[in-house]
Amino acid sequence: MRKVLAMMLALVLALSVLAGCTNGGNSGNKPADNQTTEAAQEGDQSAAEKAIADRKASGNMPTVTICFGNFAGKPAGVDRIGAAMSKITEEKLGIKVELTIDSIGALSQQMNLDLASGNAPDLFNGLLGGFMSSVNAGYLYDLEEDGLIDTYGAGIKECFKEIELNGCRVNGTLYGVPVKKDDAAGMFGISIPAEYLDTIGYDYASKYANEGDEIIYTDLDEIEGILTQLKEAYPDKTTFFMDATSVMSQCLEIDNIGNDYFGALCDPCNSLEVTNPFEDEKYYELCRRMYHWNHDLGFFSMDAATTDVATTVQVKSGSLCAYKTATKPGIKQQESNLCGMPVIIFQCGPDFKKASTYGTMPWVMNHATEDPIASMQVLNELYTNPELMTLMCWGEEGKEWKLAEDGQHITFADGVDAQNSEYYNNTNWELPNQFIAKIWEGDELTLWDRMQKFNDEARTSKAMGFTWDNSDVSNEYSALTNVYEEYRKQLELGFVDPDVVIPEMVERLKQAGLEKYMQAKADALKAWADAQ
Amino acid sequence: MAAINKEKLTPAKRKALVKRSIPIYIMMLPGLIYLVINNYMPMPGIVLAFKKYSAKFGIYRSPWNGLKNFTYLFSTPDALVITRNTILYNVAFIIINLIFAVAVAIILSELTGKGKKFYQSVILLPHLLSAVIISYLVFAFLSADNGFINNSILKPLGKEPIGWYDNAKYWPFILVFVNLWKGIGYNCIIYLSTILGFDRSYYEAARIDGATKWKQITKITLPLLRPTIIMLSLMAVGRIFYSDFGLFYQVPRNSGALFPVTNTIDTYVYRALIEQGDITKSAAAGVYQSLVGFVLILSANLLVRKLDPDSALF
Repeated sequence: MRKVLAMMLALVLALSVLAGCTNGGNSGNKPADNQTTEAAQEGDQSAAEKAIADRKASGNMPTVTICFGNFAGKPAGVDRIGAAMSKITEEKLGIKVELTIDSIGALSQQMNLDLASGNAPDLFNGLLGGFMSSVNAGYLYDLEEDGLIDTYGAGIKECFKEIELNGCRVNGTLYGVPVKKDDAAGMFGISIPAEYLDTIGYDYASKYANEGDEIIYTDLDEIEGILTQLKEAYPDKTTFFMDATSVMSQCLEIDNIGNDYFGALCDPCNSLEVTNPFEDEKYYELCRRMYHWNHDLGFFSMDAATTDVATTVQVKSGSLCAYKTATKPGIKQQESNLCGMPVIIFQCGPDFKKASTYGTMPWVMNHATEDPIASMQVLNELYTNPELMTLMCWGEEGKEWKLAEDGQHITFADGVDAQNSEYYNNTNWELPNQFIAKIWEGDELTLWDRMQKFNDEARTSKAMGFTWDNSDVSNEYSALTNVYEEYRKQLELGFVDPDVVIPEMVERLKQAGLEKYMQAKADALKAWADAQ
Repeated sequence: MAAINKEKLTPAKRKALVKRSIPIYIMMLPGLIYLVINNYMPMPGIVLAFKKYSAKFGIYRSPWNGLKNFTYLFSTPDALVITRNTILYNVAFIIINLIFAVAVAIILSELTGKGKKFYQSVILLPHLLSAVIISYLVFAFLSADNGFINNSILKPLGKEPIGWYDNAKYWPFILVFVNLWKGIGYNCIIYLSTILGFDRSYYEAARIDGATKWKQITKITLPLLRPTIIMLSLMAVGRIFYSDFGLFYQVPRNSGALFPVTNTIDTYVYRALIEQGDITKSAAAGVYQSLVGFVLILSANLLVRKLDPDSALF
């Protein structure tokens, strides 16, 4: 018995030592640095070309793995699309690529393990694993190490202004590249199916400021009038609902710098002063309005705080009349698709661009990538090659899509639809550069021009490009999050009287260290501002 | 084993004994391998709780961080609430589950005929459901707009509907009930199998002497069951600092108004770390929970050994 035990123990020890070794070995791997420095010394476009020529001459083709998440799970055609993309990069760059796509939920869990063990893909969207936490854990590659992005990513730098790229800097180090998407958001958009507005006889057609506009700009009093009539016309339906997790971020022009509301810029376009947004008049107004809508007028379902059915799904199933959304060019088409019926979009707030907008879903490089130059050249190609991006966004011509009758849009290939398509992710907003891909039927050809204009003209936070690592005050963050979560839905969906409950919440936030946390954030912001 | 070892064994006898035991060791092997892989190999990872982790250096080469990873568990004003909730719920679960599990085991053991297997399967079924599904089942009863209780019970009685997910006062009872319903089938299995193993001649003798069913239960079944009850309760005490995450997070549907009675150590850690993804802090929470559990199980065992040496675990 004792012998058996001893042997067992020895085995356990041996195994754990082995386990330790492999871990240590993996993380100790360093990519080929000398190569990087050599190439950077030449420091111009030719260095990139030389790297390609060398690679082709050596006959040694590195493989770069690319990964992003969708909502539907692994598409059947992912390997075929990956091979088609690889064909382009092999020819042009002498690099093979492999594509991995799976559902965001599954990948986010997997990505943390893969990053820790060094098996992660070379290039991936920072949403998986969380950008800031990946940076804090040291998972990401410094894209400027030895001039990497300047030498091999010239095309990327042309896509973005310097200040936009700066949104992916943490403590001065560039860890990612933003995606081309809607960077601003129209605050407090309300979406209502046209059919319901027709029923109550609301003449929305006359409300547009200009012919051909997509959005009706109005205020909450007007909306309240519409909702009151909707409530009378459809007593069995829920009149209004908001997705509870995005009320503040999609309704108020308050910049949650550092990605939380424990200290924020409440007048973000004019002032860099960090204040408590929960004591701001804007927050009180919002909560009072919702309390009026919920408590007095009964627009909300009693289950609003606990339901997790998406707003658009509720509209589609016929149980909801109106909901809140953030707006952008193309929003009307997008929401109409999601709701399964044409909707009219109202907007009660300004178009607003947050400081964090470029850092929310950047494309990043794994710290353990074997060949950083190859990875950067592939990333560069993704931002600049329309053919490659169209493949990544929409799949193959003839298989997933075909040119539409107008010869410019694209649409489903013959016999293919959203259900049976082997590659239809609908997550182009997280891909590097959807602006250069082909445009799907239903969207205007000018969509991306309008998007660029929308991005450029939106009111912009003064802290644009500020990022913050809160690990020094993370204990306070934990405590504050738990307090806010306790009150958030009750307040923001109007279940409780804000004039009573907000002071109570603020008191508890203060006990949980709000002031210390805000001070740390304000100090970081000041240091950042001084460095600009 | 212990009894046999005390005798002086001749080498031949010992050899025979070992030979006879080999199949048993082989049967033990899969479980042992599982235990080693799952419970012992990750043990070195415990150092993570004391590290400032960076993937660049790996687990073992990351710099030390002292006890800083633990402070977030105590620096919050809610620390008292989450600790209180975790412990009180678990104490309630241990006591109530014990009473009901033993009662159901005794009832099942007295049943004969076809019904027995059916009943046993039916009460075991909830244990096999995931917490997410249970949360929807509960929601079907308690939903304010469409729920069964508000619409089919309170309304016909002419009572006002109740916002179940807004009122913390109901939840201690709801959670205890759901936990009982979910776990009872599983909890009673060991008691049931122990009871079925009792020597039937005790009961026959008791019947001849004219003992009623109740007398048989109180004078034979329960005393014989005592060591099992003590052992299972001791093991439950060891997990008193853990909470069933699904029960406390999914079943109340993460409703903020219920936090004062549903926030436990596990849900607090989850909410605190979901944005940060800090593995050192989650490791710290795990170490803290198992340390407290370890101390508690040792002291509970000490107490049992004082009162009743035969029933102690070790």
